[in-house]
Amino acid sequence: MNLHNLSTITQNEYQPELALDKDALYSIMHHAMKKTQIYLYQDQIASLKHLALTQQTSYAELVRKAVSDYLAKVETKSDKAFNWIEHAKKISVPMGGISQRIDEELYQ
Amino acid sequence: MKHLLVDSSVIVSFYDSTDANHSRATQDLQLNNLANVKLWVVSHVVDEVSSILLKRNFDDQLHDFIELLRMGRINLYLPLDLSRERTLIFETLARLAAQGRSKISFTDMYQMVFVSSQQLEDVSIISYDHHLKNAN
Repeated sequence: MNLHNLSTITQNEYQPELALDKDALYSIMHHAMKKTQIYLYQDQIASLKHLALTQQTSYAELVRKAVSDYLAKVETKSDKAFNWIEHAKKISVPMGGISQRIDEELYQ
Repeated sequence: MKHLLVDSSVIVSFYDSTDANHSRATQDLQLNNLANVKLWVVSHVVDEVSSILLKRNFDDQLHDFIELLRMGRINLYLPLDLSRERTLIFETLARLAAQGRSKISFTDMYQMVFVSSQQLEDVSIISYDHHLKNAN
């Protein structure tokens, strides 16, 4: 596809060769994760495998969830003190209400 | 962990005290912060917000936006895998070219593709832009 010619292609003529179907999007989604190797203690592996069996999920999903929960706990501790409402009172100014016409504002 | 992609319309509403969505923006950002939702912007949104603030000479607000990004109050999404990023950009271009008369910008479309491809775990978009809302 020649991007320089996009403006000359009508909607009916154009078949979006790059538009991804659901399977292709799933493929991107799947590859959004990166494979990694870590060492765990044997009792941790056994417990996780048992949990995966009882919760009818995968071992990998449980590890992902554990990492995600841990990150949520440590990363947001300092941010909770930040108050967006108080901050807005200090920094906001009259701009004329442009949030719903940003594109028009940018490309005028 | 939940992640929220913040659109330019929300950030501009946050800085604009006269905007119809100003209170909504501050409350949305505060509620998501309290709910441990991690806020993100893509670089195209940084471009839009900084361009608008620069164009109208809102220097204090621009410096504040930079500080919010620097402090990680809002996280800047930087792709680790450039070939995947390339795929997302070409998918965005293909959808833009196929959209006909709708007025969705590259940034809006890119964010939709970004969310549907799940670059971040459990991610959604917050936007007050009617173009983006209609596209959903």
